Amino acid sequence: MTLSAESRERLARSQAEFVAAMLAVDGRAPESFDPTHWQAAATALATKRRRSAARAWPALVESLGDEFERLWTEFAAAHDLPASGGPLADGFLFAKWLMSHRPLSDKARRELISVELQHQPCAEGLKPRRRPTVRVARL
Amino acid sequence: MNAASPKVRGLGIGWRPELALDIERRSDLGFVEMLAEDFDPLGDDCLPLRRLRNRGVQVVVHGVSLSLGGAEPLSASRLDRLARLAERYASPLISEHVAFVRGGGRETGHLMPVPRTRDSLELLVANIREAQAALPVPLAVENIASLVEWPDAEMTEPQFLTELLDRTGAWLLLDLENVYANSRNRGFDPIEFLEQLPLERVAYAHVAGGVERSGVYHDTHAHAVPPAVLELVAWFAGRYLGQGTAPGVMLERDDRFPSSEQLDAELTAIAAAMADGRVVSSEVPHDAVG
Repeated sequence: MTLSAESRERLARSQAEFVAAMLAVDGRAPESFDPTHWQAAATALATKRRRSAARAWPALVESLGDEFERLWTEFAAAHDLPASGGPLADGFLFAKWLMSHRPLSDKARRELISVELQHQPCAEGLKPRRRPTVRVARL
Repeated sequence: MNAASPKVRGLGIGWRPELALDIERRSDLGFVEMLAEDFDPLGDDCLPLRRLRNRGVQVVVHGVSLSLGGAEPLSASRLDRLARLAERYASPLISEHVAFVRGGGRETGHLMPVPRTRDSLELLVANIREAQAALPVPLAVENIASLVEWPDAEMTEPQFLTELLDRTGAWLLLDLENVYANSRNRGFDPIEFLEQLPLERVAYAHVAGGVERSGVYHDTHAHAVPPAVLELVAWFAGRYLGQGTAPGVMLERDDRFPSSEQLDAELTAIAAAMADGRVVSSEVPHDAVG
């Protein structure tokens, strides 16, 4: 038995609804899902996203101190996880978003520059630079 | 269907940059698992992995973003990355998950459960077959832990997995911590669950730690492996006694990385559980629960 086009469509729709609800800020379960379990899963997912990005950008997080969580929550509510580049790309977009509001500390700025040397932005997020941006020659 | 199981044997660990030195120093590893998404398939060799490979440690390529359970078409570039890395490090196996990770064009960044329905099974079978055709080595699929379940399941998880493996010829990456986590949150017996799985289809196993918060057990990969999971390792190893070597068992640790001593003790405890079905409590105090 193979999957009909209609069945595939139906699955695609239900998965899209599932994902939208899981990412929504209000954490409300779709119909027929246990609301307590759903809330726990949605919270765990948001925490994972924040912790993963923070791990990839320690200087940036440290420079924001107590403000990190509030700022991250605001950013994450308006920006989906990028498709390419994982937590590094996620934090990169966060850094860029932050910079449009306020300057970065020197340490955070240096961290951003070192990431930019090894990666380049793309439509889906970040991808590795294949050719080195900077070569260091021994004299 | 009687193809020999891919040779993933002995004690293993998920390779992470934070653990690279400890991993390099450990002399009894049979294999490590690399996360495909962390590597550039066209980039330079990862020297620590190359050194492990050169001294005979197997490298298994593990993906988390293929979304085999998803209705969106499989990504050629993700399949290509898995294939290239497997070739680069001469992997005996590639592994992924019985899960979806994106929907409606949006990424979740985590493994989401599939409905256990006939349609969902057919979708997985189709995607797994497509992946197998594109990959140079056998594919194993992993059972996941999930705090939520779709309503209106048409079959149990063991039934779903058994039929999936039977129809595709894929191998099972048996995650013992995921079985444990689900058993705690849903109130079933993990051994009864495991007994219903086709254990001859297991290529290798995962163990990891988790933590309970407000009555919910979270599979965090950030805490010590619980004694109950080590007991499942001993049970698992015991099932293969007299049948040749058991599949490899590896530790997954992703966060709140332990000290070298704690990591060593944990790996030793896993190896002991594998060797003679005996659970050895780590002599070094576990890191704090919380």
